[in-house]
Amino acid sequence: VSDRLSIDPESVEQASADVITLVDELEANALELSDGTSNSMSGIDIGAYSFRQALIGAAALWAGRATGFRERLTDAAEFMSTNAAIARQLDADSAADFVELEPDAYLSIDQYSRADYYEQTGTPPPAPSGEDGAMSVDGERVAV
Amino acid sequence: MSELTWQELRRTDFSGLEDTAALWSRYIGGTADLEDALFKDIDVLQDDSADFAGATADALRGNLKRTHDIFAQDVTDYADPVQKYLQAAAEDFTSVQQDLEDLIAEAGINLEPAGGLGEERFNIASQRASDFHDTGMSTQEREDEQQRLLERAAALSDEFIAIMERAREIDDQLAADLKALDDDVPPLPPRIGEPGYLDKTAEYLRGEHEAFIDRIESGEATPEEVNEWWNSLSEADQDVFTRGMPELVGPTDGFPAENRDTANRILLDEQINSYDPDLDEQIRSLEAAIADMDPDTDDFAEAELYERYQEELADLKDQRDDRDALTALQDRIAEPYPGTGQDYYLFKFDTEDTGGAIVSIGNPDTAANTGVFVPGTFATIDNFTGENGALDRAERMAYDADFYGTGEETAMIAWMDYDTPQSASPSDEIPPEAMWSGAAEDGAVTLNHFVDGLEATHQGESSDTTVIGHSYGTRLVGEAAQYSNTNIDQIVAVASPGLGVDHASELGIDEEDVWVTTAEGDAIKDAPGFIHGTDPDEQGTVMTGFGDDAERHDGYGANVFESEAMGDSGGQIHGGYWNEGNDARVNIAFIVTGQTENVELVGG
Repeated sequence: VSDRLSIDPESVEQASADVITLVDELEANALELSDGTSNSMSGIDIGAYSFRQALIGAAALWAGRATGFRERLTDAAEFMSTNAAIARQLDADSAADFVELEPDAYLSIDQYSRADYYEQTGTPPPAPSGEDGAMSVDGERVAV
Repeated sequence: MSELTWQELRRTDFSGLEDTAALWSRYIGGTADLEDALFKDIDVLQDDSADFAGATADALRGNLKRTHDIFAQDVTDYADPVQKYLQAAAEDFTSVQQDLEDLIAEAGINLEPAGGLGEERFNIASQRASDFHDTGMSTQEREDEQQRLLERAAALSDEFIAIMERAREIDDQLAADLKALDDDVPPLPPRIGEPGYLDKTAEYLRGEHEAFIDRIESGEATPEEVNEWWNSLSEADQDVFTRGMPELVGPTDGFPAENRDTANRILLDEQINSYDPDLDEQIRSLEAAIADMDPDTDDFAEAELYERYQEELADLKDQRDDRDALTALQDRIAEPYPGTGQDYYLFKFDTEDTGGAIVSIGNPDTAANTGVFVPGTFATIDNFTGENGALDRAERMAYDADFYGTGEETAMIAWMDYDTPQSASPSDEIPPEAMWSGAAEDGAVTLNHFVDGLEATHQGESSDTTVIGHSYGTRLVGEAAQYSNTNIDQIVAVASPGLGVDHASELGIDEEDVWVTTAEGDAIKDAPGFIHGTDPDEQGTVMTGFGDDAERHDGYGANVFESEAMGDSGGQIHGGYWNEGNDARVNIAFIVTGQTENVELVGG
């Protein structure tokens, strides 16, 4: 397997966008599940049934896993975008052609950091969230 | 514990539970197409995509596949059970709720449910129908009816309690099942972009494969099993192991040559960089300090300091020797071998004791023929890359195999992975290490393991593997060839003191696959035959066995081929088999490349 990266920036950018679309769909489905579960269970008294609290825990566990999955898909999409942006910068005429990047010209998966994505694509980094300014890493648990 | 009351059970609408189960079912169904949506619908994520190709693209796809597989497993492990538990509980609760309603209906208007948790019962209604009508009953009849109602209430109360116990069991079981999902939840894999991604991913994968990796590290796993496990991994995961856990992949037999080479070059680089950059300066300073000291001083403190400096200097020099040997090795294998254009593959290296290294010229996983050269006495990591060192001789044999070969590739390996004897002369004050067979016996196990690894990782048809020993190395080769299950196809013994057997038939390979040569005047001829077995180029009568098993043989049974005595002394001749123009080289090339009909035999 070559250490060089062959890349069609258009296709890779599109793939990145497709992955993000999938992430959005997954998020919408997860939200529907979360809200739907809350609404459906409203008629079952949380104080009367011990399983209600356990269901909240299980739903939160699932929400965390699903969020973690979406975050990883997003990471992959951003990684593709970053290298597509690098390829574009190195070859202004790359719209219809492949760009062959030598190992020191692109970012390998272990060299890459989130900051590279913001820098190469010009995407503004999100403002810190939460009281302590921390950002979610593995997905937050969402009560249902 | 559930504290569900009968009043709550009666008033609960369990359709909400069913609706929730249906919601989860829909959600789970929606994830079924995810794999296709990612890896079929998005062209760039297909394995053979030309729009995004190379090791990094493969690593990205591998990451996504791993991530998807974990999510799919999560759906099976967490989401599916939630849906199933809710669905089953909805049915169970509805059923038990109906049972309660049936029981209350059966109790009729004269009995009414009452009681708290675990004390559910039916009481006689305080105002019964008979209280409002004149039924014409006598007092006795009224008392009899009262008694019947009491008995009926008692009987129904037992059923009442049983129904509520069952309802609370359903509640508790569902709670327990849902809570159990949270036990031992495995971590999610590292995220692309987080610091230390490669190492963290390798550690994550190690956790996933912990049981087998433990078997590898304990030496329990055979090379064949290692290779089978390796082939079960995705290419992306193989890459993570190779670069993220080089200490596992580099030295282990059963991993492919390409991956071992990559891993070992990482380790080699790390070890070279681990030496103190000021090492040479420290040695110079210490030497200068020692030079200014009086070794014969009467001052106790100075004498002690002198001794300590000497020890420190020896230690630093050892480090320098190791560093220089490894740097020489790194430089030597940086570019393909110019003699044949073949790439080098680093299978192993170490600097413990005499040190060792295994380097192949050419890829044995794809080569049609493989030669494994085992050097003898005095071989160390320090002289591995030097003139007439193990690698130098392997290179010459690689060149010869290419030059005299049939066009098929031959991979030639310099194998120095045993505790080589460091003394051979009988005139030494202590018995020379080369007299003992222990190093050969231990090394034979290691060599066979290595050859098993070559067999396991070879692509396509099995490679023809010839193991070539020189001097004491032949003793080791002979020992390895005595194993009946060895994967060694043929052996070549150059200047052998003996193969550890009295006749070629005692080896685990066929006699016709045993090739030996010793030039006239070689000092090895002085080695007594009782040490390492009969001289393998013996042409006269050879006896094997004892008593009734005694057998007489006409010669040793090996193919004895020609070699020239090159050098002015027995010692020079002993080391002259790979000199330019020695017939031994041509003959070895013919043997290794399967052209044995061209080998020039002694007296042939």
